[in-house]
Amino acid sequence: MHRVSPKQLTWVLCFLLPCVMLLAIGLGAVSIPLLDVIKTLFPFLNGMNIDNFGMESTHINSSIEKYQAIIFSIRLPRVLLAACIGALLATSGALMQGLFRNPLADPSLIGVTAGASLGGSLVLFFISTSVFFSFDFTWLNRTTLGSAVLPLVAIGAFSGGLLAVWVVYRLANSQHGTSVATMLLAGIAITALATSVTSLLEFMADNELMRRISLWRMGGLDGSDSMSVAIAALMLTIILVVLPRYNQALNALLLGESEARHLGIDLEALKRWLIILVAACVGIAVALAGTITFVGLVVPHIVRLLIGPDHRFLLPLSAATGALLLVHADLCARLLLAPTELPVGLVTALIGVPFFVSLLRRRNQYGAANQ
Amino acid sequence: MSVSTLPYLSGCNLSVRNLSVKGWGAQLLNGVCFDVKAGEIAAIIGPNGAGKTTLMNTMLGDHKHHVTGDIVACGYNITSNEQQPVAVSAEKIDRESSKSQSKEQLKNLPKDQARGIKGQRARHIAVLPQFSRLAFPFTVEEVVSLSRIPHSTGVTIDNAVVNDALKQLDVLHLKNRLYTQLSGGEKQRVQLARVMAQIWRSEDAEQRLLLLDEPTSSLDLGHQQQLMQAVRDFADQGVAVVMVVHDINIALRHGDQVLALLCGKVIAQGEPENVVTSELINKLYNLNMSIVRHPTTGKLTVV
Repeated sequence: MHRVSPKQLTWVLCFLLPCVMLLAIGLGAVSIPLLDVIKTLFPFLNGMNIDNFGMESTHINSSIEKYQAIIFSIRLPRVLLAACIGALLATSGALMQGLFRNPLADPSLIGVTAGASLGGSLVLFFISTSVFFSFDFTWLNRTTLGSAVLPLVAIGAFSGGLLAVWVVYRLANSQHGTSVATMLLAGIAITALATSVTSLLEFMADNELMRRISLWRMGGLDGSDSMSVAIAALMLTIILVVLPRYNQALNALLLGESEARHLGIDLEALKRWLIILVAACVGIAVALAGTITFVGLVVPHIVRLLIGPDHRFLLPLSAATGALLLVHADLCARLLLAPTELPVGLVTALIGVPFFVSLLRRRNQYGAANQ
Repeated sequence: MSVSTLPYLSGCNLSVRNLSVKGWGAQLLNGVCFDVKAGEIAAIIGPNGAGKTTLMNTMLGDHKHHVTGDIVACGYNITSNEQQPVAVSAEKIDRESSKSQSKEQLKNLPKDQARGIKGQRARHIAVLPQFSRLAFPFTVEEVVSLSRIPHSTGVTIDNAVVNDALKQLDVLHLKNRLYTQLSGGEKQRVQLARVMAQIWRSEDAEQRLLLLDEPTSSLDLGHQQQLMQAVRDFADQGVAVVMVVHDINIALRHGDQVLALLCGKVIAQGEPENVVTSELINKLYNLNMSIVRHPTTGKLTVV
């Protein structure tokens, strides 16, 4: 397949991502014209536009005020959260595929998402049942979590995800590479465990709490607020700042573990940090938006097809493409059966499953696939 | 015996002293001693299970077993994972002594100190593994470029080195092809180009050591010859080469030194002319073969 240069893809994404985000802010139950979206978001442009279009300033101002509430309290946080979560999931997928040296590794397939979800549920359960909090549920708003609990749930999700990656890595990885079968089976085991423990929690919890937990686990991007956007953006910034240190080491790791060691890479430290970073990405994503599958599988794969597996370009461009994909998927989820909203995970699964099956059919190409 | 009293030969890029390895309740290697000088090719032969791979892995520092004895490669003590002050050059002794001096001077040391001892070692020692399981679609050029990770020589030099290495192994025309689409033999040559590029320049590392694990296993006759010639040319630039080979004729034709391993012990060692006899072949492989001189090259050949 003919490759695109990373620079070209960067330019395309730099153009597409803002366009799609603006579009996603404009479209919905109430459609907002693109021009008004831009004017609301960038108020300093107003002066010019009024003169240019020869309209009365009162008309413009009233329309902008009308849209301001919708844009700033609903659409903008949602689109920003979708972009951040998409970027986090795609990056974690790319990292995980580098760590496992296998293009089939995906957080949701190998149980990391389930582990994170279990960790989050446990935290939610324990702080809700503990004497300190149990008297009052009002701090939990309907679809999202109160800002006091969110960081705790995120930490729980991170710990659960960490444990899951570590277990799967230990099980599936040998010096001959990663066994796809073991990796996916370990994912099934962890997912089953997470499901059963969560069912156990539901037995022990009262109705109200049970509803909270299941709503949280279903997730979705509709609960976005400035708090969740801030957490996601912070995590994304950390990841994008830290990752360039590991680019070359990840490239060397693709050659094989001993080859990387002979190139002077400190393999143990690399693996430890990668596992922590992946768990942090997935944990935050799950805590904020529930289970969104297949983004981590599809996006790095497409980017790799376009520009090759060099992590120096693969990681940042996967992040941008992941953001693009999830904003798109969320837009589809909102518009397809409007006014009803589909869960965004359903849309990504619809895209991801056929993709995954086609990859499975070609698994022989992936080295140690048949072990 | 303490390390400093061991008789290391000066000018040897690899010295193995009294190396014994125990694992799985068995003695995998027993009292192995040998030296490889710069410019010399040492060939390790022996039947399956003789300890060739264990010896190779132990020389690389990948030891999971109980190891006694010493391996000093390019100034690094592999068995203790330390820089070995006995065989190091004056420049490195300067660095050693500077530790006791002011911190200001330490800051002025080159950036590569920060890479740690393993990162520095990678500039001296390169390894060609028996199998490579690269399943990601890097281009050939990208694969070979990975070899420059331990260096900080800049893009221009790195690209020149990569190009030279590709040319040397006759894979320059594959430069932009995807590694995953190559044939087994082509992959092997690309991998060898990669490990050679890792220790290509004598400016980057004075003492260099190349370890090859069955480098010719998936090559046709023509490319075997070409590859061994490339290894020979590389050795002539002052690199010590150690290779594990199954084909005794390759050991005879290209080795300066042959090491015959049987059940973890070195049973014969020295120049191929003196070492490889039909008795040795019989001992190693239980085969009756005769050894004759090649009509044109004059080298010994097993038939």
